[in-house]
Amino acid sequence: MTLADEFDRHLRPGTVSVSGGGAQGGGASASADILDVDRLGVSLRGLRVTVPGRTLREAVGALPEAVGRALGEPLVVTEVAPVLGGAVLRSPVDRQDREFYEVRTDGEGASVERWRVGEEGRERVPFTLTRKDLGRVVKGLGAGGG
Amino acid sequence: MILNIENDLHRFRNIVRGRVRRDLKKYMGSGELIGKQGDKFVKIPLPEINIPRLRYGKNSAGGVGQGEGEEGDKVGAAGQEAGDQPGEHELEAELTLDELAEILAEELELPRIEPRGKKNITTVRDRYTGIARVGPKALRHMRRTWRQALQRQLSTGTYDPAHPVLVPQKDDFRYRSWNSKNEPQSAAAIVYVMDVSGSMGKEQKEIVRMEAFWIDTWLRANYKTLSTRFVIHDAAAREVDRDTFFRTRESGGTLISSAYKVVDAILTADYPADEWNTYVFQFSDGDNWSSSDTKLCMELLAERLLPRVNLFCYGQVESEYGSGQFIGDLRDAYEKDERVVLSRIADRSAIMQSIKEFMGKGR
Repeated sequence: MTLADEFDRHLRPGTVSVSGGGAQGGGASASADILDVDRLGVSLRGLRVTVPGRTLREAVGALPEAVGRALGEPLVVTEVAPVLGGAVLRSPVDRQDREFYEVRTDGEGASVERWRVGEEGRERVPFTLTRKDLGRVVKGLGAGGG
Repeated sequence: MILNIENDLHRFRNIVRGRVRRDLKKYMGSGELIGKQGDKFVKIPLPEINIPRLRYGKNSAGGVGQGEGEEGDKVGAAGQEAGDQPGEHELEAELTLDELAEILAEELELPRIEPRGKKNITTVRDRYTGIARVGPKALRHMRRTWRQALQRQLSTGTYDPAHPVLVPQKDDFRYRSWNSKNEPQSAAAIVYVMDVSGSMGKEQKEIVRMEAFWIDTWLRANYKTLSTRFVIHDAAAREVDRDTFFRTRESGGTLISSAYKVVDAILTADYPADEWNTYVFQFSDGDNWSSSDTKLCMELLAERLLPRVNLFCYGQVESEYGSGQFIGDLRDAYEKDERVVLSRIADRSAIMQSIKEFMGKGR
């Protein structure tokens, strides 16, 4: 069973942390702040997947394609900081709701959040994905790892 | 006739000043003046009004579509060489930087800056306050010369009050002469800090460039000696020259503390707080990499930078992704500190208000 499958099995409102995912999980773990779950979709505030042994180059190479497709919005590498061992990827700001996805990767894993651009700054907002797409995002955030 | 020309010139200058004043916001947001800045003057582009004139042409010229060309011919002759005649120029009027600063001050209601340190900064100035027995004709001091001639004639008994004729001789001539004097000067150092990380786009940099120009103009008008230094940073910071400051774009992450460390080193090495009025202007989109680095920034500010500066100005330039958290963190920590001024710069139109916020304290 993969990490994404394992994560899906444990989905419930609240903070969900799942590690392992059996032999295919590769020591990875996922945690998320889930707001609501039903048979088809999940509303969540943020998701983080830790991936041991993944280099920054591997992460930056794999994330835009793997996660961008699952989120349904293209991701562009905004900042890469080898000194800090991390990178920031963002999707274009949606013209209507002025929201965008931000994926951060560091030496230990990657996380995804959604932000709304407001008059007084930026605020983190919940986002909704189908369970299938959430599984893809979990898989994508762990992509490129050992 | 000369009087008329002087009147016209005076009127013209007033029109220029009025126009600059009226369009100040436009000039501040367009960066139009930046490329036209000299050491002491700024060229103000003025729209030229072409008055229509009747011109006599050749009657045989035909009309539109009546030329020699055939349908499908290319417009313009091939193989034409570059012209050697001057083209039409936009009308430009010159304003001194002081005049520009004055307009800026009037429009933004900026108070004059009260300099802080002037202890050891002196400049040697030559002033024509002395009198010499020799000198060029151009510097001849007529009143002293005539007085000397009068003294001589009185002492030799050749002066006749009934017939007061003074004839200066060679020894009577006096000339203006200069004395060199050491004068204390208010000196200011500005350190501009810009975040050039990947999230700062071209437009954000342009806004910083324009704002820096106007800040420079204002501070130059207030201080005789102005030293300007530039620091850029993404995850690492370094000091650069002006040109590099405005042109560099990096793709790294943002570690603001790295810049504060470089600023600290610059101030420590070159600008003792009791001698210099020091200003730090920092511009960023406010997306610091981590909260631990933000914490380090607050410590550096409190312990190393703020005790030395007149003002620490932080301008958070918004990008399409909005505005980061750093301005909020600064506000939480220094809202009541007079040395810290925070400004959010949403777009070019906000530059004017931002400068007012920065310089409005008169520090």
